[in-house]
Amino acid sequence: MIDAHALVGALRLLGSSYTAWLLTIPGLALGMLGGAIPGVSSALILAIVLPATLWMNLLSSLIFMTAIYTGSAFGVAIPAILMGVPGSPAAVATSFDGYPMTQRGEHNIALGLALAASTLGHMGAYLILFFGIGVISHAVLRLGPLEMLLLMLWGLTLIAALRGRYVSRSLVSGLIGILIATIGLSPRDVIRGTFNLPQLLDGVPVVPAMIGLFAASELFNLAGTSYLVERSDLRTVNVREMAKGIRMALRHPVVILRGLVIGATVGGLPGVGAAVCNLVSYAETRRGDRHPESFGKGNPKGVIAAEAGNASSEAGSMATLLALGIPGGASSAVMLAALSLHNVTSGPQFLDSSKDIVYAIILNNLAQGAIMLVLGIGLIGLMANVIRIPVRILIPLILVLATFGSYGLSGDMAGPLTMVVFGFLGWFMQRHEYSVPACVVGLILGGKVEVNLLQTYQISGGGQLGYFAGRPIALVLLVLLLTSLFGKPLMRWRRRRLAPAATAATTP
Amino acid sequence: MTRAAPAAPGKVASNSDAVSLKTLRRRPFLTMLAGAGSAAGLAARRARAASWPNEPITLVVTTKAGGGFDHMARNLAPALSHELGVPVNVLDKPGGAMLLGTEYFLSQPHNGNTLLVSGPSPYWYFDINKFHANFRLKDFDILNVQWTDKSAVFVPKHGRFQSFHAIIDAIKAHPGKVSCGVVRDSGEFFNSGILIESLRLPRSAIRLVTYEASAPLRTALAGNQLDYAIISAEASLGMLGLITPVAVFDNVPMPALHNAPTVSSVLKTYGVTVDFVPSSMRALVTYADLKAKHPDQYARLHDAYRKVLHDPAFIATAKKQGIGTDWLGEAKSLAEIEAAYAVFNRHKSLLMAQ
Repeated sequence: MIDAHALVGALRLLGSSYTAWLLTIPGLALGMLGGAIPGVSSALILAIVLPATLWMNLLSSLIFMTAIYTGSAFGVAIPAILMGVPGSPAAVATSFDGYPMTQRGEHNIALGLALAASTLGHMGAYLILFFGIGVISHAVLRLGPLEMLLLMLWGLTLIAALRGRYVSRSLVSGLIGILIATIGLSPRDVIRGTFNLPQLLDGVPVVPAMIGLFAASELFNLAGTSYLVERSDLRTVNVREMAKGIRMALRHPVVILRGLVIGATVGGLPGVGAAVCNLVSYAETRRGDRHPESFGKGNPKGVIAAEAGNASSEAGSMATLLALGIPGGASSAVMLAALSLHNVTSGPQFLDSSKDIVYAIILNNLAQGAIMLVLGIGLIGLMANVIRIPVRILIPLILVLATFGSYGLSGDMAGPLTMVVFGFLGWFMQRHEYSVPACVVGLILGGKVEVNLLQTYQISGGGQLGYFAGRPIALVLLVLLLTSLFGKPLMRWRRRRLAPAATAATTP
Repeated sequence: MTRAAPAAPGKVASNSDAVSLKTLRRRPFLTMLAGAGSAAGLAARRARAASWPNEPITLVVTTKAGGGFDHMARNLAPALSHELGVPVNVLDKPGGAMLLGTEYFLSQPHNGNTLLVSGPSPYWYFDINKFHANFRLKDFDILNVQWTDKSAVFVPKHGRFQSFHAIIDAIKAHPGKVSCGVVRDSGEFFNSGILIESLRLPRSAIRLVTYEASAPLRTALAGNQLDYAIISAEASLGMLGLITPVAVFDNVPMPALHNAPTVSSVLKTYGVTVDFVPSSMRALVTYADLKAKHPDQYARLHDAYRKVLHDPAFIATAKKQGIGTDWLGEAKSLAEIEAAYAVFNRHKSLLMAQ
């Protein structure tokens, strides 16, 4: 599986090219800082540095760009944990438990957890890549629209899990999110709910809407308080606590492993990526847990699962990019452009002829994980000071940042306007105990579910059963989905039915 | 610091050499230099150019950063800047099948300071005929269609069919059993429909699977999820080990696509002739009234652009990146767009059929 000759070549490349190593640190720092600003995507940072990579050699430019990618994947967790505002769909699930931890004064631990899970997820997924980049990329190819549909439905079941006091209201919120996701040109090319506004043809811009829903609803909530963390004795930045978080993450290897397997495979699918991985990983961990009701209230495992799923999706998308020549998302599309600037067409031929470069990238990324751990402690130590800022100063700061971020995303007023409209919606929902996260999950996954549902219908010739029978992976996924949905209630029901019978049998 | 870093053995070392610290420090400076244009030359050129251009020029791109249109604009910007002596910036205005960016361009003051990089075919055709755009082709002056991409028929490497003949025979023998992938609202969507129409088969004769973008479509094809797909040829070159071209929508076979036969030549054996549209046309565009309102600006712009596209160094670097550098000129560009529109018009019923 490992080409020893190419491995030696890779080590030589890495040993002789110190530029590549020199670029790793600024790359990671740039990515983390950018990721920490809501609305600044890794694709944006990569597009900005793309012209500069023209002056680097191929390996250095790819390492620089993957470093930015890696850093950004962790950076997005910081505002999600500290302020409950995920800057990208990739960190939505991180906020579910990360922010309640902050409110309890456990922000140091939560940041440590996220950093460790991110690092380990990243390194683990690249390790999988190292042993089987070909296997991973071909596993991705096995997933057709039906399999993707089932995976996304899995993520969608989170709606029911993310409930507040009322299950019904959380279902309604999820439905609202799904309905909003249907605005625009449908996959079947029908224009829906745009009120003749051409700005809505591509649908509601998800990230500004998401920032509005989370940020505004939370900020209105905070308006009555004076600090993010109520108790003044807990309002500290403590590296020892962060280290405790890191150690705590190490105690949950299964959660991390699950996250990185999901990230490494699902993350590589074009149009799926980190946005889905973190939700599926979170949903799966929550459901497998003995106390699922503790999730969403500051369960450390939630943070670990979300971050492991998010961070490992980079490796998945690098696998499809390098081995198949398919960019999984906007970030890897920019990397594809960087490759073509160096006269390289990635894909199966590239993987065969330049395995040493591929190995060098993987090895460097394994090291990136370790470097990020060190850099990350410094950065979160700095960023955690947010909790010391009085809320009356913090709220305007976040609002301004979020507005700029959403302007940057759309390039015109459509972004900020969307944010404001969804801010009001979020505030209203929060006030009446309709779950905002459930709405966001519906918003992110709704459109993707529809696309894959339509494709499944089309590809199966209008839903002919023969198609489904010939897809073993889909059948396994379906069984898993059904078990996870109905398994526990069914067992409970069986136990209840058996119990009277058993008591009847023992009594003479 | 010595420059002689030990060169690594292998292919990377040979084509890139290990970059030393010295070159690293030079980089920001070079970037600044390139961005601002050489300051001395700028002043001289500005004096020569009298009045226009005297402020930065903006290239509006109607797609997101990262795609072919953006790539073409970012490649063109420094060369145009060098010719015109002012900075040329790229502004991405994506959304609504290119409608938003194109309408934004039209809302700007009509002079030479704003240019448009967009897709007259097929995107504007869809904008005008389907998405109620407020513009028409006559609102623009197409300086040049610089980059035309063709469609091709691809099959998975280990797919059920390995030739275009086999696909057609199977569709005819078992209607409704063969699946075909296309990106919706694309030239390929039209080409797939025209193909079936020309064979005198109902649309239900194939299982048409529509994708949002070409990357997921190519993934599905490479994974053998589909029997065949019609995709833009250029974007698929990197995947030739996983998917095989079996026919091209062009007048002559393309060497890059293993000289797969043309669609027309295969269909001729069935006694059928077909129309087709190009996959996409990428053009540099200005306002229709620029020539009358600011003839000097128009002439300066036109000459600068033509000069860039005739510069062998520019052509060589663009080619390296796979960017087209055709110079058709105004008249021929318009004629090609109108020819494509005529094909669309002949098959207009496909427009709403997705």
